[in-house]
Amino acid sequence: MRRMSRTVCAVFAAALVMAVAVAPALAEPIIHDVRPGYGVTGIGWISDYHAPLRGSAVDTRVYYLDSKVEGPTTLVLGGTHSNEIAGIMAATLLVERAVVTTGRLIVVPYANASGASYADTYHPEIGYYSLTTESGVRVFRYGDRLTNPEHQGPDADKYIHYPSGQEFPGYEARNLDRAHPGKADGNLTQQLAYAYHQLLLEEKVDVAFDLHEAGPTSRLANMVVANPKNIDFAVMAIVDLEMQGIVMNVEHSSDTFHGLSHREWGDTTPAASYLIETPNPAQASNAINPDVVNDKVNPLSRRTATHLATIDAVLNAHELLDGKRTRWVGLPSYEELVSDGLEEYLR
Amino acid sequence: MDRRMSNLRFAAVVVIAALVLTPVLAVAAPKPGKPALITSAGQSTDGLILKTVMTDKATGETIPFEKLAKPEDLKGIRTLIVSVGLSSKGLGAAGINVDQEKARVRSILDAAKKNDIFVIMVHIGGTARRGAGSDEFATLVADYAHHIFVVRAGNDDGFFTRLAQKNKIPLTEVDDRIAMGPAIMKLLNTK
Repeated sequence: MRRMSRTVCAVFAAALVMAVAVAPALAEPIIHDVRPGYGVTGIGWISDYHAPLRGSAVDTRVYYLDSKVEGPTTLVLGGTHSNEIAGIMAATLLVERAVVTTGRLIVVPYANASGASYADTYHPEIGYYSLTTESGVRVFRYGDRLTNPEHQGPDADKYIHYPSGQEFPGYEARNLDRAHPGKADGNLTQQLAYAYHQLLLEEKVDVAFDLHEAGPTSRLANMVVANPKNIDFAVMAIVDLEMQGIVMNVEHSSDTFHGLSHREWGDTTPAASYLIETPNPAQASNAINPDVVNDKVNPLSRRTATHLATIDAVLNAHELLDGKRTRWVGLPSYEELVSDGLEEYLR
Repeated sequence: MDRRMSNLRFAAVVVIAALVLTPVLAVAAPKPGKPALITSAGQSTDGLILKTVMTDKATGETIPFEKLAKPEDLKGIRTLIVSVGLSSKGLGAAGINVDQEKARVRSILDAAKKNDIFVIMVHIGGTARRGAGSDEFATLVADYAHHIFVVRAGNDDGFFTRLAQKNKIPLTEVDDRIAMGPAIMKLLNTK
């Protein structure tokens, strides 16, 4: 009888564990307002690269823009952190306006869709931001930096990065940019990172960008971080940008700080990998009622333009040194985007 | 009388020696010129940026950059250009620590001094590349330098001006990184 009771308890406990493990998968994918343009030749899901993510809150659309002309494959991720919206807007503009003429472009505007399912923890008052385009008002989520705890479950005291073993505070277990190169059977965020790693390998990505933002006075603001193997291209790019009047800095990936895209993608795949940071007024430590769209010093249009110009400059450097780059038409120039505003070019 | 004559003769010899040797010593002071070599002091990306802004886009002519240059790399070099800026990530990428970097920088500067090589110290990183660590490297390099070039924003506090004054060497300020290339090239091309 007592053995029976133990067996029942064990079965119940196992069922509970499985229920908790499966619970995140019961959430629905979140569809954000991205309106594909004529350049989009295919739409998939990140779960195509790691099936257990299908139907989960981190599953997100992957847009393919294929020129059918031989050339390199470039990957652009926006929204690794859902409060770093200039990257999301740059990726969205690529999906909505770019027509690729050489090679292939793969774009994910909401790299961690779960983070965009809830308001930014530091500035919940923002909630959403809107832009009035020719087709009407478009509303976008100002999300959080981390995966929604409702989707992943409570944080442990510590998060141990896989495979380095580096220790982080527990909440970093929900940070996609501490999870690369991911773990197939890890937590939800690690599985998401694993899916991007698979995408990079399966699609034979040559150049990869992860678009971020930082506080305006942060050392990282207006920065290109490059894996050491491709630092030369980043240096050439920032010199090119400075000639255009766009001042960016450049630094290597740290060799002691693990889990970041530029470090792990560059180390574990053939892709040249870059992370771009622009200054977001809401990420200043003392920001009160920040205007994330129309900030006088760092308006969203300029931050978005900086991301796009930097991507272009890095790819130009690849063309100069490698003789090839992914090329597209249809996007506004830096000056046009800054002067006309983002609203003019979103669909 | 003899003693006075002896003193006079000694004084005359000293004066004549001074007159003869002064021009010789002046001629021996190193002058800028090519071939030149860029190295880093602190392993920030600034050395690579400097090489890029010193590259002639039309002809492709450039100044070689060796981030971990050693004394033996100075063979045939007339000017050593040292780009100052400390980056822990850069040190990590180079596989060395800050003490090893200081030792390397000191050894190449000693070799440059021994071989009468003209030394240019460059700070191109602006305010972003200032701080106690970078300033320490700047102070080290300035003791060997014959000329300092700095992007104006990096000298807001007059730090490089004071270094130039202390070492009695010229300082050239430029507006931005792009202007740095032509300014140094002009000095290297001085006849």
